[in-house]
Amino acid sequence: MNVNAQQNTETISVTAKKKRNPAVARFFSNRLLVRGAILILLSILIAVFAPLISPFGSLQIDPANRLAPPSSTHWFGTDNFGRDVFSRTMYGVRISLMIGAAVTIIATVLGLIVGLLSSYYKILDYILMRICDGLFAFPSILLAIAIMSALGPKTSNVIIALSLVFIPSIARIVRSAALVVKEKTFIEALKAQGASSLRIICFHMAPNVLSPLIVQVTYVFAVTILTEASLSFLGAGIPAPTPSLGNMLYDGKLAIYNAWWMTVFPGVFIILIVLGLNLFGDGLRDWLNPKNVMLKKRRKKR
Amino acid sequence: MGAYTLKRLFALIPVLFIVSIVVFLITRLTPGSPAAIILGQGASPEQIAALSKEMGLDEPVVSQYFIWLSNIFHGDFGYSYFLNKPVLGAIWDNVGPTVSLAILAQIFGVAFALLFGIYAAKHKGTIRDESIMGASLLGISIPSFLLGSFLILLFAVQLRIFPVSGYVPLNAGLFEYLKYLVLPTITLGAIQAALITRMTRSSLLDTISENFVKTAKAKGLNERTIMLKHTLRVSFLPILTVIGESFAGLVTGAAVTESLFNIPGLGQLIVSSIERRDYALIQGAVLLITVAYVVINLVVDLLYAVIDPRVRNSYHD
Repeated sequence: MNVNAQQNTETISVTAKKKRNPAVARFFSNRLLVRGAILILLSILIAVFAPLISPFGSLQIDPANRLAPPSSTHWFGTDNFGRDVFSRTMYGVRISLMIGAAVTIIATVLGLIVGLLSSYYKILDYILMRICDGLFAFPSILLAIAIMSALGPKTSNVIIALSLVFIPSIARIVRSAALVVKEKTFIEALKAQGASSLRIICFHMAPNVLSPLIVQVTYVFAVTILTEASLSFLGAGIPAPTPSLGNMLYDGKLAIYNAWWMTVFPGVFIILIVLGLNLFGDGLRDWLNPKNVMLKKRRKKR
Repeated sequence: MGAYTLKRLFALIPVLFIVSIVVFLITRLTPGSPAAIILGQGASPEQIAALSKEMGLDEPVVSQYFIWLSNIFHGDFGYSYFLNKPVLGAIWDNVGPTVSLAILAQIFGVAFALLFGIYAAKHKGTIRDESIMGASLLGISIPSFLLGSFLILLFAVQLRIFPVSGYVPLNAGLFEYLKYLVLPTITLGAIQAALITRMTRSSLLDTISENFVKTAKAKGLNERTIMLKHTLRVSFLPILTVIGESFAGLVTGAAVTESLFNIPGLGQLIVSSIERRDYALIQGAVLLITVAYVVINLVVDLLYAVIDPRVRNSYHD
């Protein structure tokens, strides 16, 4: 009986191996996606465990050890106040990811609503899309700078400003995907059955625009982190002394002659996060549209 | 073509209307009266009231907007109380370095991108292609100020080949002028180069498998002629769009690059006016740059239609 059961589980595990979910198999065969996911996972782990892995507090100053080069106590050296650059970088990753996530969530939810509504109602389409066109016409950092200059330097204002900047790009993608879905026969059938507009939009159109949306969302996440860093670098973002990767680089610029470590280490972490998100986005696009990859492969064979 | 141009110009009106409202609202979002901010903390309520009246702040918001708009149509962008000169004049004084930088960066970006894009497409699937694509992915993942900081560390602080920062106008000699602009140009142009390289490669690969390219090969034309005269010409449309879009990156990237290299351009003007809370200047600069950006994009779209007649025929919305 026991042996039998073991055999059974063995056969099950063998068949499970053979018949692994094709989507999962494709996930792991997609190098871009896996590499991107590893980088993102690494940054999330740093963000979550920042207080545990930092040997010093992010604001703890040590005036005797100002601008000290990397050593066994201060792995990434210290800055002009004698603060530990390693600890500040870990907290900086945390702040950058938190702001990136907050902005992405807000912009995605609002962009999804705006995009779906304007694809469904003609009048709303005209009004909302003109507003989006107008906001889209601004170069993104410039709009963010302008809003920040009005609201004043505060972390919550950075989130508001960047969300406003990125809503139109999400709304446009959602709208163009939703316009295609809207013409499908099943939507017509639902209308004939008497389904309410709200029901059609929420339960039938929204799920069908998710795949282009998700790809766009990863790019927005990446651009948000870059824009936040640029804003903070210009002095219009996260106010000091809170460490963000951008304002650490601003401090680094002031001491660039004496302390290369203040520029190099926070910089490397920005690159890792953004590179991870870009790789993940490229991979995700291929994963969600297997047609593209298959076409590519067929072309390669030819 | 004329009808298409007119249509596109009309489509611009609502966009510019929204842009102007957003720019106008920037100063209304601020807590406190703009007059109080200009006069500083020591101002008496009477002084604030007098300046408010002078600035037209006691009128209803809607009429304030129309007064502001009509002033702009008359070329009056307001007055910078901090620089003590008209906004338009201040912007004009700072536009030179930004334009120099943007043009040099665009030339650098496009030249590099076409070279590497064509090379990568030719050697598709090889290690050479993959390393170029890897480098370009890295290129779009590095913020420009970071790349600039790394370049300063390497070429200015360690090797001492180029100056760390600063700007010399063209009339001080071409060599000096270029010497100061090399690092900023690479800083700003690298992202353009990376973006355009990716587009060039994928656009070329799309065209290479078309029948007319096969015909050209069958006719026995050499590879260089096929690539330059046939393939590249057809693939140039999407490349042109990316080049047009990248002007936005240049304008905003210039702000960051200028502040890194201490170049007295528009970007630095905007950044320093944020610190001074000089709203008239911020408004004017943001408005002008955005309008310039919208116009450049329109020109690119029109060029696109000149090259490819299908574009103007399919435009019905």
